[in-house]
Amino acid sequence: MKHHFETYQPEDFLLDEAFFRIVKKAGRQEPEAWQELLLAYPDKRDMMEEAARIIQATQIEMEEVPDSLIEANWERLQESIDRRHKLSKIKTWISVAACIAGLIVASFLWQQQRYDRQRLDMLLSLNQMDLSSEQIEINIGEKEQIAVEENAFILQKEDGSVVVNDQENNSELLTPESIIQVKVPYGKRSQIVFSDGTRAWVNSGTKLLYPATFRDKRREVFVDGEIFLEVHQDASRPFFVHTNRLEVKVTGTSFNVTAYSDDTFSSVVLTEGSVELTSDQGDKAKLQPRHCLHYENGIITVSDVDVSLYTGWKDGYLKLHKEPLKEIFKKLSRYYDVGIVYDERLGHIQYKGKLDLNESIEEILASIALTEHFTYRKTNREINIMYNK
Amino acid sequence: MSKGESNNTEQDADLWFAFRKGNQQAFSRLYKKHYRSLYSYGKSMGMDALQVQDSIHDIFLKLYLKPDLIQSTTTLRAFLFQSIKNQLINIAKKEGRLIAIDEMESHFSFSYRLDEEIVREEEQTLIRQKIDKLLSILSPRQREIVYLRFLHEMEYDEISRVMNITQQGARNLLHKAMEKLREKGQDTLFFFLLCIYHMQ
Repeated sequence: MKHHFETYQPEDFLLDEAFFRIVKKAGRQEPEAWQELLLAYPDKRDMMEEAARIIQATQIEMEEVPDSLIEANWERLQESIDRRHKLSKIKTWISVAACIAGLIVASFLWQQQRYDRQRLDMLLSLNQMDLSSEQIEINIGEKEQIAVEENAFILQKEDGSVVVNDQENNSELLTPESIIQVKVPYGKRSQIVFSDGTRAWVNSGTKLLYPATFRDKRREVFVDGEIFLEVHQDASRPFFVHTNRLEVKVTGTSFNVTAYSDDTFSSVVLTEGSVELTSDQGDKAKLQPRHCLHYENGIITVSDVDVSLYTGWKDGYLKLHKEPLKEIFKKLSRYYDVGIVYDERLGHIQYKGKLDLNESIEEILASIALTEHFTYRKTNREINIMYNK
Repeated sequence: MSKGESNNTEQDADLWFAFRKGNQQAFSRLYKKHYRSLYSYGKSMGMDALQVQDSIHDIFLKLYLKPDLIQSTTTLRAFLFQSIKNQLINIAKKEGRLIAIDEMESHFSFSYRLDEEIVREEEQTLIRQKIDKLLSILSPRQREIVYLRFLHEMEYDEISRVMNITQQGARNLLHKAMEKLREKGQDTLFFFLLCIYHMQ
């Protein structure tokens, strides 16, 4: 290798590509070329070493990317890959099974299995939807996406078309079997009217999957988050709400489901009618109006409650009866999409009152602070709450 | 020192071959090997952290499902960088921003990290100012080629693919950039060196 470094000044070394590469390689335990260079130009040794130091100081890691982030993203990629595999496997399995079923009379068992698989698959895709966007997103099939800034009013028509905030979206890709995905990020709310006339209020931080039209004997939606439903009466086609841990079956009724996958509990509160629930452990329960079912660590508890404590959010208020501040902060954090960091001593203090969710988060905190002893400070996207004796 | 950033195409070729033979571990290693440089490149092009992460996700998912996209293993990294660029165009389209590619590239500004072990914290800002001033002499495309050639140590065939120019064009572009730095950067470089010497 020939270099012409005799006449080089310090900056010439820095700007010399060949030199740059040799230094980089030396840093990776390939010092041969570097040693050669030092021997070839002994009088430039100091200069070269200085230049090498500068080159090594400005390292390639332009962005600090922690290993944990790469790991997490790798996991996410693997899930996506696995899911594609499963989907294609299920598809072939179903078509193979369908052939056999043509010869043999379709057994009830097979139907049941297929149904379970489809349901699991839907829950899987529900878990994979990410809520990172700040907009409300409505995905139709795999290709089309509608994004809205403000709270959305979604009307699902029977022919499959979707109307979002009075804007009709006629998609050629849309078939009655199409699955619609709705993502409502923290700080946003939405309302949906399904094709059967059932109305849903969707709270902040909620993901939802439903078919464009309910064609089967079951009307089914999949939810992660919080939703209040007024189910349109139709005894011949029960309505199912599937969550990660609970399945709710109804014919015509109004009720609230809270099932955030990042919460340890799920709950269902019934305002009218009746519902049947099945937990992921296979336990069943029936609820009467004003009953609240609380499900945590595999245990179901049912109690009588003031329904408005659970459903107020859909009408824009939060009614609280001896609720620990930590739960309130969590709700507010989701509703307003702000991080709330609080002194742990405050967490268990119970608060009673009614908060108007049309007010700003500052106004709400100010009203709680009237009776509880804390002060708060708002920075960009975070609120710090300090304990005051 | 950089964390395993040795981007020799030979290793890529081996890993890719292993993956095509069914070795899933190899795919994972390719992913982890290229993640940081792709992330940095995306950020330099003006993407935000989430956009970069989603783009990398999409690119590797596509690669996994359609490995035939890679015809020659020497171009794997070029393919990845090129895909990042395409993703950026897609994002711009999705957001309804119809922008010319030239305009997009004019945003190229690379941020970099100084090794804390070598450069003391107090000196970091000062050195940064010097380097930034030095880089500001260059045009965005010149900055990009310096970035790809020096920091990612890309070969000219890779650069020509990523930047969509001929190999000779890439050589000329880099040559001009270095000339410009040598000509106009004297002063800055001198200060830069001084302050490094000063730190000892």
